[in-house]
Amino acid sequence: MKFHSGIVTGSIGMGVAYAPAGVVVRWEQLQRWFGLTQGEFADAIGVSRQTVNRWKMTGTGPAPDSAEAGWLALLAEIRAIASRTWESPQEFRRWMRTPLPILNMQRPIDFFKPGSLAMVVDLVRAEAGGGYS
Amino acid sequence: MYRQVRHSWRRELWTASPDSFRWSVGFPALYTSLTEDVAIAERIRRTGTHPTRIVIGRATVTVGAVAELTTPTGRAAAGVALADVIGPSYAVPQRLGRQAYEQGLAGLLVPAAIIGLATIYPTFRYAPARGRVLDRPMPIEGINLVVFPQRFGVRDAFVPVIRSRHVVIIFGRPYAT
Repeated sequence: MKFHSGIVTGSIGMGVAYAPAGVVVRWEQLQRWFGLTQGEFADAIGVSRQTVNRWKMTGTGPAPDSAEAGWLALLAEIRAIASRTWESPQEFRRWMRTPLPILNMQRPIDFFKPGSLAMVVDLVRAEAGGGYS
Repeated sequence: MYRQVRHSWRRELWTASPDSFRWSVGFPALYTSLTEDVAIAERIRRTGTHPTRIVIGRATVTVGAVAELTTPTGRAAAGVALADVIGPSYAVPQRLGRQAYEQGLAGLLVPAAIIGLATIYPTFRYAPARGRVLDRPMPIEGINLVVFPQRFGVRDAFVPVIRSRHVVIIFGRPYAT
């Protein structure tokens, strides 16, 4: 038997998150990859739709070291693990919207909120590591 | 014992993960089940009706020292109740897992946290890459073996019987409406 190491997400900057291997991910790319509506994306990082709209219009994003940038980094971590674990982004998006027994028949997308994003990271990590939860 | 992983992780079928799960935190553990159906039920808890391509492997394991938490006597000796080890909180299972690991035990025999799953999905579909598609009854209970490979002694052994060629699509099937 052998061991593999966990996945680490790096630091964060203006509107971007550093995924593993130092790949810079912009918030629009994350929203698109997860297939989130503007409202779902705003909920996931704890801002209003108007704020997301403003970022879009001005080509900006959350300030470095802001709470929102931290949630963005968690989204980048979920994407990094999911990309290696699900067979396609479409498969992952379908799973995100499937009611799951482990979530009391709620859907993973229901937990795309600042207070519960870390739990989604754990859930996705268990899919990768083959651990039981 | 049986273990399943997503097809994309088939090369890691027998790889212990250092990530934290129900029974492990901060040390590598390999989560397995004593029957194939329970291994699949553990998967369906996390994928529901979403068809998921997995590989299933079987191995034989010989371990001298494991903690036994599947019986009331075993749990009483550890000072815990069934609800403590299959409930939503991982605090008690992770504490017991760490204690066992630190005591040098090679693993834990534990009840699978699948109680109630069969009321949501009375059957699951088992569609192998080759062979017949089957609808099998969802188990109502089962036993998992959590293995700590770093704690294997000289007499302990782990032998994969089926590696990772067994590709199956599985998903839970709810009651017909």
